[in-house]
Amino acid sequence: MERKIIVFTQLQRWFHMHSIHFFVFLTITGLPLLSPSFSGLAYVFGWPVSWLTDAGSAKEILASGMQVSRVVHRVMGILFTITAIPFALVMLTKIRSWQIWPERWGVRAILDGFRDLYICYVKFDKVNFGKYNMGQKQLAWFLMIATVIMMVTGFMLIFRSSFPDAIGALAKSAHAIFFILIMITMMFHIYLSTHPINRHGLKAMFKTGTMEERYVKEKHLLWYKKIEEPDKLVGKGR
Amino acid sequence: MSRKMICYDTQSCVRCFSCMLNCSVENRVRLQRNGKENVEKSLNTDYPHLDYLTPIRKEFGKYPEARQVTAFHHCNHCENAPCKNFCPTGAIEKRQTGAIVINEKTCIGCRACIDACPYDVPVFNAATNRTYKCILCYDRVENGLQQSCVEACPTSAMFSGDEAEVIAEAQMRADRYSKAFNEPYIVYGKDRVNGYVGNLAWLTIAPEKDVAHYMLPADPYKASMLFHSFARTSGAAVAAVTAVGLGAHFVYWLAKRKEMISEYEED
Repeated sequence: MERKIIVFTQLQRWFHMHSIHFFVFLTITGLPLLSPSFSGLAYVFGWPVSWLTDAGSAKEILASGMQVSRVVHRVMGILFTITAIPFALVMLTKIRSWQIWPERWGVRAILDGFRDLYICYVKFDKVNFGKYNMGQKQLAWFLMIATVIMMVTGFMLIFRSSFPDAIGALAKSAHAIFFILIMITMMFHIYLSTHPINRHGLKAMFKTGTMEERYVKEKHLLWYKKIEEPDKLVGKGR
Repeated sequence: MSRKMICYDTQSCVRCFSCMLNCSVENRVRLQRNGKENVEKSLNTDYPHLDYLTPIRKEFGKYPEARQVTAFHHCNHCENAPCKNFCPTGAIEKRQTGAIVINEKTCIGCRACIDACPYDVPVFNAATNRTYKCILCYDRVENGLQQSCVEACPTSAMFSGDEAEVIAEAQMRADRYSKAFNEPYIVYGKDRVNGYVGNLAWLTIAPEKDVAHYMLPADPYKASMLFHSFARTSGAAVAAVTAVGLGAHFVYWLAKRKEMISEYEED
């Protein structure tokens, strides 16, 4: 049996999995509130509610659905925050060992990062990456910052009577803009992480949490050099 | 039914506030009519959210040139009605008369209308979780009556009617004041104010230099809603472009993979 290297801890995999659940619920309940183009979703939520209320006309069913969306959206937002805070606290204790810090700084490093992405995703050739490439690191940083902004603005909207109307309106706009940015980022993330060239990472995140040492050595050499200490390795030959 | 308008003439107004009083009375009568409150309670309870017409007295300038104006804070029933455009439940409708009306039954209290209104008119009531604003007495007008504020005005400083006749009367008064006081008077809302609100169904005759003091901005808009609109419209376009781009990348990868496999087999 080949040696395995822990890529994602149980906590990381658990949080990632539940983030997906929350993301799906927050998206389907948030879209009708963002734009009338998604009011069909609100009708879907409002229709069963109309059996229990006196909502009869299409507009009343839509309003019921919107209210359901708002309530579920808020509850999901609060639950996500409750889930995210302990995860963030645990991760912060290991901030020095985060693999999303840049390997190098400066303009040259950024240009090299873009070149590596080009070689990896356009030429499909081997690149000497760390655990993550530059695009994955940027995604991680963006998602952390955007999630904090979404949480803060979301809570401002829940308790918006405590803020002036102008601040509430700004929070709503920031919430909408960052949602769009997250959606676009997610499209990239979902496509690239489920792409066959990333199948080992996908398997590690959703199934095993580990990668074979041979694969890590071949594809993530920079990272492999960092984790040669024996306490990071599991399995036969440890 | 044609578009109806109201005009408020700041020069003929004697600040008796009968309009405000009658508006408040009318809304209390509506509560009684709809069976929501009994007569005693409806007359003895404060309903700040139902005061659709609020006078705001302002003093500006320095003595001896100091002056007072009484701005009337009310819904202007915009042609483009941003509140209606941003309402996610379609609870705000535009009546045939041009009145912009919030349907209390389908309002969910999300306050999108408050965010959208450049005149800061709609009022949120936490107790009912609804938002309120002037309904231009559409129930009265559609039954052949005047708006309650217009009906109460003792000096004809408020007048209403069909669009054409109100505009004609307002313009005539503004021209007369301009000549009499030797300074330009305008009819705010008669023409398109800007693209965000369009023209207005509630006109105001005021000295041009004092229009801002009457809380009637030259270019009313809400910057935050422009961001929100941008997110709504650009979001769909950017998502579509991204989806096409990623799809193209996948097709490119498939072609490249086929190429690599055939090269491998040749070797």
